Amino acid sequence: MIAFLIFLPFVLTFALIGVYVERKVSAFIQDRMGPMEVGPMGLLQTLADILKLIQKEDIVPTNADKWIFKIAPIIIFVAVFAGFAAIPFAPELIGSGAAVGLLYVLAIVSLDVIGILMAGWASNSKYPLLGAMRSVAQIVSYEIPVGLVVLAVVMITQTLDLQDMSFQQGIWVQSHPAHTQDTNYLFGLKALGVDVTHWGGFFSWNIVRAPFLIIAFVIFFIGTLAEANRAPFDIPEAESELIAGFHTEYSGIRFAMMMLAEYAMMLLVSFLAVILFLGSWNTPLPNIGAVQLATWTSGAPGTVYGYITGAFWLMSKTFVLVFIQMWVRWTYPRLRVDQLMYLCWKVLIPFAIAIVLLSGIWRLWMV
Amino acid sequence: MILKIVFFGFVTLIGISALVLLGTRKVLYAAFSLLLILLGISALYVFAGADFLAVTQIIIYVGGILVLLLFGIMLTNRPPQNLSIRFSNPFQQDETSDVQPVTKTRNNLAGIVLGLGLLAILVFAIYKANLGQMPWIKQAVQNQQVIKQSTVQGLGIQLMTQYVLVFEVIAVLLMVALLGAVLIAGRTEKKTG
Repeated sequence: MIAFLIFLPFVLTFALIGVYVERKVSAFIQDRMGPMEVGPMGLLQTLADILKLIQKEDIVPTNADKWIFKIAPIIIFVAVFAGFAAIPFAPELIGSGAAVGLLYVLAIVSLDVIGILMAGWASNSKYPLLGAMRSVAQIVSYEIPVGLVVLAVVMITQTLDLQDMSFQQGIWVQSHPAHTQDTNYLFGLKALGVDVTHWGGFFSWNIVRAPFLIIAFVIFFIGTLAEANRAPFDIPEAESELIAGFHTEYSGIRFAMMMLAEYAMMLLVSFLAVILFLGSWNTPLPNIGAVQLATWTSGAPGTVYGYITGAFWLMSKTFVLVFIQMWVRWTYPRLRVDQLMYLCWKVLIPFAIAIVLLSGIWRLWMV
Repeated sequence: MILKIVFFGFVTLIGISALVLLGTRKVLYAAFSLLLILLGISALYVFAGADFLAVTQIIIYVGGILVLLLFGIMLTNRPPQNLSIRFSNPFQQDETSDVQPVTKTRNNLAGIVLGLGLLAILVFAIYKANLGQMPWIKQAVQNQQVIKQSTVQGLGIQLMTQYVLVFEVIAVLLMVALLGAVLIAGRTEKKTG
């Protein structure tokens, strides 16, 4: 319930600001001004846009399958939004403390595919159908490398619980009931004998605890970019070929829901990347001798200061990733279908399998 | 009390979706009601304390099998029977413009009799078995700790120790099936002429 009350307004605001930032970032990259008219620096542009979309007529094509056409955007958004239930927002602040949280997020997000198929099929028009086909083929294939690198992280952290994973990556590891005796070693290697449990900061992040997870992080980032249908993997909605892909026939509030789902998906996968690889809600600053940067910048779990710093660090890292997603979108050209499949099956998956094997070996050295 | 309402809500959802699945003649509607059934059943797994099973159900059945099913149905989209439909007045509500694949209903009576018969046998068997009085269920009810624990750890350890042979055999079987599918799909026809 807490997660619902926090995340619903958060996701809505994020989508509003996200669209604005995206337009500004693209404008900056293309040496334009971007939205400038509505409000100072165009700040109110997306608010005006959403007001316009809400007022618009909700058009359902005559030959469309009415029920499925109307339900599809709702299913897409609900599927993505349900994923937020298992995201730990700060220490001890999580919607569902389910022990299978990570698996749940991966499962519920795969419902998104059904919504896209419904939208594409129910529109009864060629562009949406082609877009939906491409989208589903892409999402289903990219789930494999993503699933494999997530498996590697699970092998390192030995848990599917996202909150547990977060605790392991910071100075508060020993305040988690399951890890009171745990110590973090430099690069996770016990043989090195450098105890970094009280250093905290980035030394206890997963990508430093097991350095090869940097490659896993890159694979995860590429894979989730494809799952969110973002450029350079936006062939499902390639404007120059398919108009707008699976949401070509949508207008008004239902189109707004599709956009909302896309931005919510960007946010969700960035959250997941931060939790899995970049230390979750832990501070990036380590304790250096008397300069206790980590202790100063992250409060103890359960205290008000702990909530504030946890949410702050989690969100700032997430927003950096979202910004990189936008940056990539406006920098790289779109991939062709065969290049897309080549990248997934012949590059990402072999690397992902090698990482799974390596993480098994690394885990043996960690204890 | 709330739990009971939610539980019976899911049961009704499954029941209604199952009736839709049986009653509808449009294959796609059947597939979507199957989606609701699978989600409802995974919710019932959560009620039974099997969290891992519930999530796995969604990943495999909804994310995998159902998507494949929908893909199959959509690729067999039936074109309009006569060309005139394509050029008909767009403002005219037309039943024939429906291009969904539709199935015929056959063997109605035999199907109903068979289904009801199976239901009767199952209800009788479950009633006879008197599940509530079984010793291990009684034990579990008394020991609330068992119910609240996650099943992930237990499943993992069992799979890697006691059932490791079965686990590996299934892995090899799936691998063979995958290779076979690639072999069949990748076979190129020899060019003639």
